Amino acid sequence: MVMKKNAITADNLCLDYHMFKRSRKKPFGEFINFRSLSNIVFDIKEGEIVALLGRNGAGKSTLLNTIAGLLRPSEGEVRTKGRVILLSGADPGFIPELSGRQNVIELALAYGISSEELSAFVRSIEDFADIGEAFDRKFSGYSTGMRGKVGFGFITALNPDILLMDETLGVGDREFRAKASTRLEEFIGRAGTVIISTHSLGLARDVCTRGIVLDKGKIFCDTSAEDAISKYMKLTAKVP
Amino acid sequence: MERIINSDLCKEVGEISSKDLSLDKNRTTFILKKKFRKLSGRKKLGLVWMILDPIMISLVYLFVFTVLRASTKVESVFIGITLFRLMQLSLKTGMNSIQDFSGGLKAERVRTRVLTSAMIKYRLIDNLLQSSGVALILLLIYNVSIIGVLIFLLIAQIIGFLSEGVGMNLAPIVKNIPDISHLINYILMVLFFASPALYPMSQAQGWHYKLNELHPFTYFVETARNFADLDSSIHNLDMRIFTFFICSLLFLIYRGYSIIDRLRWRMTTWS
Repeated sequence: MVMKKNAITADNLCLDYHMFKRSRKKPFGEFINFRSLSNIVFDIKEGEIVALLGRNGAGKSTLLNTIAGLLRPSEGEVRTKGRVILLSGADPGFIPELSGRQNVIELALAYGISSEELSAFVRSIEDFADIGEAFDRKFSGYSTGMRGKVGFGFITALNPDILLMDETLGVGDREFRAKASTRLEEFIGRAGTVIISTHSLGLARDVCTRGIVLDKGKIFCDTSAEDAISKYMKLTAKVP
Repeated sequence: MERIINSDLCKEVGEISSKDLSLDKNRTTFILKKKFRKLSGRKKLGLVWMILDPIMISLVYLFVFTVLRASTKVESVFIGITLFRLMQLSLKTGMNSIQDFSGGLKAERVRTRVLTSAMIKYRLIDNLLQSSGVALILLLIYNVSIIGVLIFLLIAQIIGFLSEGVGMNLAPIVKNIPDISHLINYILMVLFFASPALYPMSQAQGWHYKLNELHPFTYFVETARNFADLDSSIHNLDMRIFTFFICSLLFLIYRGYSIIDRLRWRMTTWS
């Protein structure tokens, strides 16, 4: 049996936010540290699909942003192998002054799509978003749903080695959501290693093989997806 | 490629492939276009305003001087105001350089060298646009020699980069204490009227002259005026002070660009 290599390694990871606060005692303000992640340790192998569960504020988004290299840990270390894409919301960095098509073309090059692949890439997003002639209209005039469709279509057309997903399927109408979940499954299948931060236990059960539950910035449990879901349900059931 | 993320750095180890290099180049272009697009916005004349602005402001002051019957040469005002404005804008750009370190790409981390490269290219183009309109006026209307115009353009580049370098060094302090940015605005306003931007150094006297001797801008603007065959006091100024300024400012530029990676990393958890 071939031993799979680690795609993500977190070793004693801690993260503090430094927040500016003004109070009566300190009218000029002071920086206070707020610990968001404490002693996070895990290894995720190549090809694993992991559900990241936890209440709001448990540190899920912070953890994903740290793995993506967007937040600085205060202690410990994370190592990742390969290209990491963070799917958080559905905006890869759209420019309001440009049309949907121009945005896709410019962003595609900036996200590593080659000029040979470009036209097929743009067509795939146009077909997926299915917003008709609006694709050539100015992006600033798009509704939130339309923006979400183009953004979601764009990010899920990329080819990462590690995919970090942060609560993403909240955009679009019912018809779009059905289409989006199919595309998401394809995307997850295409990406080597996936961490999905979600409150959708159905998605976690269907797609993931492993589950990590975070509570107050610490790992509550790191086990199989099914086990993690039941432990998460017990944890949240304690809340009055 | 492996990425190591800890409190000191976010570093990629391993060889950078040609694909990565081409990706970085595309990202630099994207960031650069985005910056200029933000400036042009919905304006009909777009980036042309970057060329027109220094000309318009110089014309306003020339009008004021005509009303005041001040005997300042038009070319001198054009050179002074354009260079001062460039210093002001570059300083502010440097101070705000840490506002957005994502480069506008939200789904993936952008390498710091992409951001640095975009900043340098932006500064180069901005300096050129801000000074080219006035350079043309000096050449075509006021018959300033080609050498004089080229020196003016070169000094505009130097002032732009030096001021941005100083601004980048101030950036973390301003982020910690935003009030400083406010104070700097007032200092710049005072300097605009006190320094030889609106008039040549020869019109300053006593403590005013002495104070301007300690302002690096004086040396650059007077050099530009000297090469444009205008009234200039560059030969009366102490070149040892100028050399000291140049060395210090070069050090600040080097420091400014080299701390971007560290600053960028530190700022991610500040709120």
